[in-house]
Amino acid sequence: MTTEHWIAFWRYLLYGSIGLYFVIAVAVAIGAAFDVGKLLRLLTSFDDAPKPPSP
Amino acid sequence: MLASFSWLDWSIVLAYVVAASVIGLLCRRYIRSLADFVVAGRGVSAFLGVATLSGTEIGLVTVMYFAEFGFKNGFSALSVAVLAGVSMVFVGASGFMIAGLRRSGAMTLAEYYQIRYSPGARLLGGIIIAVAGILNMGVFLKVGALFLQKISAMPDIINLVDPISGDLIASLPVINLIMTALLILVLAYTFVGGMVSVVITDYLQFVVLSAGIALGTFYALTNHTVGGFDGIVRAVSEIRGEPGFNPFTTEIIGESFVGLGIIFIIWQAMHWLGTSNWQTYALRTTSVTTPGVARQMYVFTGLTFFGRATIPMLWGMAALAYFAHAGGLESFQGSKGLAAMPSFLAEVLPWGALGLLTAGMIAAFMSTHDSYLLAWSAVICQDIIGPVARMFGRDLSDRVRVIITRILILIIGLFVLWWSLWYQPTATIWGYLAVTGTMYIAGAMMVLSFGLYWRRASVGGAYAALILGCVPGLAYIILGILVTTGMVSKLPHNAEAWTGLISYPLALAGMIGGSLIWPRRDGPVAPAVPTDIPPRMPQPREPEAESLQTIPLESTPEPQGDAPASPERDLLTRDTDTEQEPQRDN
Repeated sequence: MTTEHWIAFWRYLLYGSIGLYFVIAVAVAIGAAFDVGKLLRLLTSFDDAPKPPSP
Repeated sequence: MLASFSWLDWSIVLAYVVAASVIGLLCRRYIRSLADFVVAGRGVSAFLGVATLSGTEIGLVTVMYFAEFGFKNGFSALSVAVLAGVSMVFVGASGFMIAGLRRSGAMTLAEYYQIRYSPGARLLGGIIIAVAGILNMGVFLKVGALFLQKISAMPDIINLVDPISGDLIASLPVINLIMTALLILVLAYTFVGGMVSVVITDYLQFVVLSAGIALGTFYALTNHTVGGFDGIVRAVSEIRGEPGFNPFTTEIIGESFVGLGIIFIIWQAMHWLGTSNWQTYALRTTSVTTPGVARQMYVFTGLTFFGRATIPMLWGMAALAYFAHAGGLESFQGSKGLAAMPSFLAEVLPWGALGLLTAGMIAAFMSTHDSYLLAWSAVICQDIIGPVARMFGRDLSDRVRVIITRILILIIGLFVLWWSLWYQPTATIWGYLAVTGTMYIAGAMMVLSFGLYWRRASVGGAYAALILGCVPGLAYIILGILVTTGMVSKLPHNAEAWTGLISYPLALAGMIGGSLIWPRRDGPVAPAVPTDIPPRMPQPREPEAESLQTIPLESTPEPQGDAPASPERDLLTRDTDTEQEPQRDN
């Protein structure tokens, strides 16, 4: 591969990866916002669970 | 340059630090068991897993070492981004190692060693994991503090003067003060909140960091002095030559070794394939709800990993172009190349953007540091202290383990501060981190993968792989200490690449040779891995210890003789996507 080939390759890689990063970052930020709520509900489910009958 | 970091920037930074700390402290109420503290009750789902894994692995240190790598190696540095991204996506798509690890029910990697091999393998693995991991994070504080000092243009020294006599009382290095402040900040909420705090603040940090990264990238590419992509190409061509574009070539320019070379590329390919064994990755694997979620998490995180490396490398190359075109490049020769990127950003970013980027970077620093502190303290507690206590007939309760883990977080934090102040890395920061990582990853990769996929893998093979995989990296660190103390002048060119490269074949030979020389006494059997951990169900709050969802390891049955393993225990035949979603309270 010549230097020109390498430059073309790195150009596509650079711009492609930056674009991909931000697309995923936005999707993850939105999706994970719901997951945070679910995780906290799961961890607090102790409080909501019925207590065992006392002897 | 101090004027460039305005009151607006400081306000943004302070507001973020306060918000993240308060959230971390509030998470304390969710900690009821060791499983909550270490693996967030195994309740992390795919999106949050990606956010938290990306948040952890895109740290300020990551940004700094990749920027330094781009500054020194030009476009060739991007080959590491390709290897990292492809490896992560491959691991996620295939489930290679991670699905089996999650299914094993182990909370840490070393815990798997005991399930599959023996308590001794767990102890040895735990020691190597902890030593390599703590050495690895030993430079984090220094790198993080250097970034903050350069981007905010703080002076190198603060002189304390007697207000009455005007005499100089003391001269304090600013970088040491920043390191101490950063450590106190991170310790405060990791110490209190554990993994729940880490996961939730990781999410916040992921969002803030992404915004900061967007700003930095925009200004790096649009700055007039840099000249955009073409300006970077010109600078790399003039200063780094052919090795700046072709990652397979190397060159000696003056006294500098430039380029990566085939040895480095092969080492990195193996390194990134095994990186899913790195404890902070493994801890995320064991924190998610199912093995399928672990695979999704790796695929999406792998896609972000291209950008995780290429973006800071772009900043580093932009810094090279900026100082090459504007003058001042000679200030960043040798080890000073680490300071080029923050110095560049401090000059090109406007008010407000500088504060947001710095808040994002502090977020990245906290996100990485808290996870690493938790990961290594959990390994020492679970895989070293716990088994040793059991040998002496003492069973540590859940509550005691949480207390020990917290004390270890404090001790590791103090060690990291000392190591940051004392140790001088001999090459690039990435070289140091990759070598210390290889100390553990080389052996762990063989022990885990052969344990999952080779029925003849034995305890002897595990010991040999762990020890032989660790030896080259340990030798490198010892030589580095000799350089720091002045007993050795410098290490040879490409010492990191050769150290890393020989670690993997050595570990492989250890695993195969050891298993053949010391075969399993009960013959080749299916890997001993328990069935999936049941999903977390709401339970009464009273019995705290029962909420810990670890398998009682001592009661894990080892398969005996040549009897075929039951289908659900045999990882060689199981479909990795047959796991069920946990039931939750909604």
